[in-house]
Amino acid sequence: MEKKKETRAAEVIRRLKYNKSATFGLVILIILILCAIFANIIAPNDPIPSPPDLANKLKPGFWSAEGLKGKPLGTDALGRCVLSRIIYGTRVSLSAGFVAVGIAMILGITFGIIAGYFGGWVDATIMRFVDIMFAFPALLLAIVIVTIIGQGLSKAMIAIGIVYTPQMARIIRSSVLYIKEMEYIEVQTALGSRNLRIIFRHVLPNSVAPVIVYGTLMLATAILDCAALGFLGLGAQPPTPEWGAMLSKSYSYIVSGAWWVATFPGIAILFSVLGLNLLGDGLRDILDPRLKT
Amino acid sequence: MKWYITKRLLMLVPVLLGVSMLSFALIQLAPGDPAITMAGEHASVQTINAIREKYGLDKPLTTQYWIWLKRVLHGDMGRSIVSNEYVTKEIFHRFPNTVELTFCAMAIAILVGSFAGIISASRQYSILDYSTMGVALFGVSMPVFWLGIMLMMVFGVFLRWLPISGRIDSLIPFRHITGFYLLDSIITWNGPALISTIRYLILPSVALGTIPMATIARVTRSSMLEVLRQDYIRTERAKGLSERLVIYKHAAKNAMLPVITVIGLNFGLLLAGAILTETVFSWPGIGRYVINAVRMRDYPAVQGCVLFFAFMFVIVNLITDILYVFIDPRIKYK
Repeated sequence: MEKKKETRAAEVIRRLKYNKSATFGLVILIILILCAIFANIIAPNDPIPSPPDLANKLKPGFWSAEGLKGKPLGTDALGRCVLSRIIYGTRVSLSAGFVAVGIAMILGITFGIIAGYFGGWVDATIMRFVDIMFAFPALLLAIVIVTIIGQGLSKAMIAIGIVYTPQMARIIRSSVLYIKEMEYIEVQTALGSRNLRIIFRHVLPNSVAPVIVYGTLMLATAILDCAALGFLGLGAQPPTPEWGAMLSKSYSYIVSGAWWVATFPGIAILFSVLGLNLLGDGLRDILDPRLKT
Repeated sequence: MKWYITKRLLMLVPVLLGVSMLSFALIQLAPGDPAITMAGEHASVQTINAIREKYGLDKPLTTQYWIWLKRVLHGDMGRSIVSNEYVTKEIFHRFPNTVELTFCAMAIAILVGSFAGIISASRQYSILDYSTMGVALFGVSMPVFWLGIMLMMVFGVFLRWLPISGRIDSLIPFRHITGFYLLDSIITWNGPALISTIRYLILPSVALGTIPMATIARVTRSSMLEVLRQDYIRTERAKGLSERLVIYKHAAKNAMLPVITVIGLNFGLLLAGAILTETVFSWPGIGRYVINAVRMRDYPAVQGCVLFFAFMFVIVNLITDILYVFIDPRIKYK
């Protein structure tokens, strides 16, 4: 059992190498994770210096003669190094994404398996709930939840996690429904295995592929939505170096010509999301050829 | 077919009930006394008591829900804490702006997206194909608010080609009839107002339309590629039809089916995107209104907007589902 799993993982990695765009996505993800872990080593400056260096506010970066040494991407309205804030922002955005997707996975897998495996009225009830949650655009539902439980980064993560739960539940349910009809599950039932045993030993391991694929793609949208909440002032609060929140006052900066404050955090979001999308698409092609579009 | 539509309509009932319960729960779940939540923190004791009386807030939850639901069905969603206006009135005042923005964005997305997808598919693996799909890939990964800021910066602030916020040049005389600026300027035969309205619409709708545009382009391409491999396309080519006729008339028509589903699915994304786009461009629509309401803790307004957004979303999904049956004759519903 153990050995077989290893070869499967090895096979995925081997096939991933042949998929150029997925490799590119994986490289971006690895860079992001490294940035997040070693932010305090890589970042040239303190992301939240106190007191703020107001004398050097809105200074351009390396492209201009006016630029400050050691602040390659310029400074923001409080004189903070934009590059350092982006690097520390990796920590915030990635962990927010992982926590949100983690919540969605735990809740979604639980509900999805219960619905798919037991069927009947249990399934009908859970799926009606899912339908209701699908009646709200994701970001709006997240805003509603944040309105109830309060604002802030950790609340935003929970809100996004809850919002993504129905999606995960639906994916798991359909995969469980598919597996349930397989002959070997029928054999298990005939042999008198208990439900829990069948779920944990047979159904769950076979749902891993869609969970990984959609988890990766969900991570991309979670980062986007978390940035959106930060931008709206409902997620990460200042002075937290969060990419979305860094953009929230950018209108006033671009009018004064400080384009770098509004540009670079967005590029960071763009590349993270792009990388995760590419990786997710690549994994889907490898792990679940049935889903290929 | 009739049965399918009836069934689909009946399926709406539990969903709409659920949506209304969730919106109702918004005020109940908010921290503190619901009466104070609805009246605002600074309301007088009389106002709070009046609201408690009016909505039966001292009665059991189920009774409260029915009282509330009856009021909502009569178009009464309470008064905004901030402006003391009826929430329904505030929403209908802003509704045309959001509709105009989302429709323009969707129109751009559909036109450009499907065209790009068709071109890409008809020249698979060409440089044009790669570059279109590359742009589309960036398009789906872009935060809409950031794209809005970038467009605003380049075309509004640096090049000064287009205005960056608002709906119309305030110096142009303009008469409101329906609340839809485009429609009103056409009805009143007001040329300058029409041009101004369009100029103010361009940046927000391009920003909002880019993500669905990219998705539509990608789906159109893969759907076109599938259709182009079919036997009947080979037959048409064999009998000597021009490539243009084959692609635009015969292949594109059949390739559009999955695209319609995507358009329907993207509408939700578009509504969510409208919240962000309206915030970036100070667009006086419901999206910006709901965000301001959240910030001001104007719970009745938030509740009204949420209900409204969800309702619109549900209706659009219904229309897409029904449209699909009409367009694809192969689908037979019991």
